[in-house]
Amino acid sequence: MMTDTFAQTAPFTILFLPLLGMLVIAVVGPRVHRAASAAIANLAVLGAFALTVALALDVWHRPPSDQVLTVTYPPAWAAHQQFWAHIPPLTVSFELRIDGLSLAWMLIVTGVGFLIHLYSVGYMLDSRWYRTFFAYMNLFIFAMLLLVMAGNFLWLLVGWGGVGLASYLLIGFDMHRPAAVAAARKALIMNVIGDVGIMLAMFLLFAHFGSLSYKEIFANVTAAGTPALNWIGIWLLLGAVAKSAQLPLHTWLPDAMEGPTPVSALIHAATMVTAGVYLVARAHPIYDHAPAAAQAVAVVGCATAFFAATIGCVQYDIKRVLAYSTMSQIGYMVLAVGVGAYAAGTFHFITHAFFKALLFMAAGIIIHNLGGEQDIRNMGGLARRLPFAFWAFLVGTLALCGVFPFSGFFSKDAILDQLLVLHHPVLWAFGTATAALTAYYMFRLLFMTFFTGGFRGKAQTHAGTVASMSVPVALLIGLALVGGWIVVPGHDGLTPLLRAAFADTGTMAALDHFSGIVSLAALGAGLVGFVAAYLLYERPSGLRPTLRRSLQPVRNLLANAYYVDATYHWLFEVPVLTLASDIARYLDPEAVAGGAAAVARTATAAGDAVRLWEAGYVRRYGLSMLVGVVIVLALFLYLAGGTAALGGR
Amino acid sequence: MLIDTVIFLPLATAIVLLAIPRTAHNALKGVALAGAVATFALSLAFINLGTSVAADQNVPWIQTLWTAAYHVRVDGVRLFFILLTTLVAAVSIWGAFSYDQPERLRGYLCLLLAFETTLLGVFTAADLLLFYIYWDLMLIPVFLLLTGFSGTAEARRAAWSYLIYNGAGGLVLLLGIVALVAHTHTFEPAATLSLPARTAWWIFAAFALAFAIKTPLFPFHAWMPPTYTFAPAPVVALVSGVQSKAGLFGLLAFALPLFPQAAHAWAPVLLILATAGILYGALAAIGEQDVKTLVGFSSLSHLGLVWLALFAFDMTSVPAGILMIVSHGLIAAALFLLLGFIEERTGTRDLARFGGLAWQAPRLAVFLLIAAMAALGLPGLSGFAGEFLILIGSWQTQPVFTALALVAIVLASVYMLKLFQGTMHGPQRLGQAAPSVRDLRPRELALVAPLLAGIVFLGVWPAWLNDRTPSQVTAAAAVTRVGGVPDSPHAAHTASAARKAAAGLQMQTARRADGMVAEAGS
Repeated sequence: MMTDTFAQTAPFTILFLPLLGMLVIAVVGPRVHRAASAAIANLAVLGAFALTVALALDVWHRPPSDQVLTVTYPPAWAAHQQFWAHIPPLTVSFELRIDGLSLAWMLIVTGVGFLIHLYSVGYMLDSRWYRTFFAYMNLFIFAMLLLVMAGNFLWLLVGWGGVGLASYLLIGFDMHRPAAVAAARKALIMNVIGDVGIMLAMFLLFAHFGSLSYKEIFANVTAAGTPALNWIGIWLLLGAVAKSAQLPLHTWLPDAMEGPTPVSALIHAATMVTAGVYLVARAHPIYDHAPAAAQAVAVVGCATAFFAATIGCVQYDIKRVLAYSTMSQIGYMVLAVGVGAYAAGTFHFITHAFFKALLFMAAGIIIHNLGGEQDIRNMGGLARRLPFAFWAFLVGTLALCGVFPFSGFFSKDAILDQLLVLHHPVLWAFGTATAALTAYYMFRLLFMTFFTGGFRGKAQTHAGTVASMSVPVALLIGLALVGGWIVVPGHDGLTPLLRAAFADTGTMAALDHFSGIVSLAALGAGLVGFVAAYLLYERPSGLRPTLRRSLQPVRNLLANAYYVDATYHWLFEVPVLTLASDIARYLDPEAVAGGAAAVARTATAAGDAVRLWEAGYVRRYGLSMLVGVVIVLALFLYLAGGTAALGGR
Repeated sequence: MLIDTVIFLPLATAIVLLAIPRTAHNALKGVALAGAVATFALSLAFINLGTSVAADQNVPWIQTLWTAAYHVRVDGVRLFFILLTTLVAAVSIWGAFSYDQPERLRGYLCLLLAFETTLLGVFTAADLLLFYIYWDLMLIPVFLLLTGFSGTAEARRAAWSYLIYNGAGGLVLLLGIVALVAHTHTFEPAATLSLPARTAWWIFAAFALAFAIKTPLFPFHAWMPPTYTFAPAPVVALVSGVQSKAGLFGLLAFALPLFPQAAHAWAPVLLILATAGILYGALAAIGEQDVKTLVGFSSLSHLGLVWLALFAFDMTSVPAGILMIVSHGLIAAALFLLLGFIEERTGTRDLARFGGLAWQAPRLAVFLLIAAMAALGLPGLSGFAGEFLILIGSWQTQPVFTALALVAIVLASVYMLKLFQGTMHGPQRLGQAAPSVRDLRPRELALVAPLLAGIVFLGVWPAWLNDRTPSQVTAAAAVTRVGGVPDSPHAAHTASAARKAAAGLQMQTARRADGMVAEAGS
């Protein structure tokens, strides 16, 4: 009984501690010392982490049948159950779902989240908006916890939108820089596209199940036919793709590096961008019965993993390389959950959170010490000047490249192994090839930053790594090393923790299946990438200039990220903005107001109305034609009832 | 009677103000605000008077060949229109304290209070004659506020535009009402089942046209951009936040229950106009450089969504429309008031001249952020609750229009970020023109705070509102009284889903019952 009370109340405490932290900072922040704001924010997240650990231990010590908790507010015995919406037949209540899957995410969000809060205490010290920063960070943790703890799709979307807001605020944190403002705008708009995808999925879920609750939908998921489930899966994928920066809605993530480095580490590497992986894993009963949608997930993940890795090979901004690396690694996770290897995807999320946060924080130390320099062409030889950052970066790189016995080896191996076990040889081949590219771009980054001759920049280094920055980095060095040891050959410590959450999935294979071919192929691919980077950057010869010349077109293509940004600019941005400004400047003042005036004039002199149109410009004719076309099209769509095209009934 | 007190307290306060000397500014402000706040406080009492009919007063008035009554009522449909009015009016009157011609403050406050009474009259009227009288009386204070208290030539032109359009709308409404009374011989909106279908079709068209101009519905919005742009902020807060809802109220309280068949007949046209307006307003807002016009076009887009909600005839979307109405009222009032504060400080509304205000006015930035995010549809705020619940309902009956409306949600993020970032973020561009921009004063903080609190409250607990709007009044009136329209599209849906599941069991005949069982079983 005692533990039950704890399990019923702890989730709320965990969830609302960071929100409380934000509110306290917002209200009393200006009146207290800035250090107090940082302390409040840190304690809120630390408290949430401690409670999450206690809750996890409590849940995982129960019998498997008892490891899925649903907590509702108001409690189940209260008469009034509909906290959010109550418009029969639609009812949505406030419910949380705690199981192995959400606990894995909660532990990382609060645990790694706390380390990054601690790191920020030192990193953001020079910021004018120090308190605001911590308020936003706490807001983010709250929203992210809501996202992973929600017990229905509605509250998931509230968390989903909340992390989007926090991400927007923190990318644009340096609000006087136009680049940061533009990057923040881009991130939010692309994420709203994803939100719309999730909304569409919910419309279909409501149509087919009459509910938005995980419990009710997943319990009779087969009540909807495969076509419907495929559409639901596709629309959910749209949301996942936008949030996790997968193809084709990935272009906001590299720009998001305009945010302060702790933000990149927390939101744009360790936690928020993996929300798409969480979503697919959470909606696994749908994907299990939606083969086409699941296949789309896997293909998107695989394509992104490869595509982002190729771009990472030619970037010069230390954070942008890491951003493309994040896209690529999340591609692996999406690939894993797409083929049904949910545990492997979750595993890679955990280890990736450790080593990618470590890499960003090490990069942050470098940037901090070089006075904001991020271009690796202006670095070099830093191993001697910043040895701590070097060792941290080296461990992170080895883990990311999947070198035994670092954490990344185990998780990446688990994914690649499952691909072969589940008979996806093509996806496996791309995954292994991506491992080679990963090793190449990471060691290229490492060499150019820390070796490759001497220091090439002008900025003077000033040893300014305070304890609050080095302590979390040191801890993450340890985690990046040992974090993967939960799964070793012969012992799988992770799958049993997740099994209850995936009780309805048949394909829950253990992760401790290591096959020599997969491991050797991945390690061999990594070695190829390493040797290529070494030869090109550490052994000066005629090779590099020659390659550069002959591969110039490819380089241009990659350096411009396959011109996706430019394509979107001409395909969407320019037409919409042109149309919008034409409406605001010409159509509305002239045609609508003028048209109304013309109607008035018709009463007195019918001819005047005609002249207004005949005396017009080409543009005016064009616009009136456009309006006509839109109206006819809308009529046609209405009459044709083109519902099938949209995945309707 | 409480209901009369609420309606006429603002007007009585205005009359008291006339007795106070023009120069006694503090007394004027104190009395005006006290009257408005007292009205709001009294109107809160309606919440707990019961959900079906909270207050009803019916006094026979004219009894000749036809009858009319002084019939006012507060019920589930009217309750939140009334609360929205009293809240936004109190806030707007407080916001008017900083009017830049103190010697004319008395007239300004009097007109705002009189405007509040006409609005409350519209929203309580249960008799068509009374409704029509208040409907046209609304024009007078707004016209005078625009001509006399803005001081610019553009505002005077806007006032005429406003008067001509809305006057024409009122005339059409009058024609419709007279045509109806010619048949029923009473202004009491009673059963009209004996009405010939063709007559009902025409009368509904007249009602809908008048309401479309008032909301406004695309393309009847020509009066809107100049009015919203050039009227003082507190006036726009009331016109956009409250008066624009009069047309929607007319639909909910009169046009839909009186002429359900005609409403269905007109639905395709109105749905097309609503969807066109949703997209057109969003695009126009993206292209706009004047901050107040931008928010005006965003209103056109958001209120188009309410028309979509009502004419989708869905059990969920119609009540969600009321939520959206209240939410939009709070958001629009907050946005226009905040933009008014910005205009007072910087002397401009032009986005090209703003930038970086958040540096000097962080609290203003946070408030504008919350209001802009609510308008953008951020989950967790009231704008999202309204949009989402409308669209999840309208999707079930009108998926094509719903899908088009979803595009506007993406466009909303573009124009709301343009508004927020353009004013608050980026390099500071005002330069010498406005060397220092003050952050929000305590009065300004306190008057916008209730609106934002309402936005957050309805965002996290929309059920609070929906439990107090009787869905049977709104949805049933429009949906179930028409044969051939399924009374619950979802039941049909779930039935089809259950049917597929039961296909192996050869139970294809028991469709409806199966659906119910499946629903109960899940």
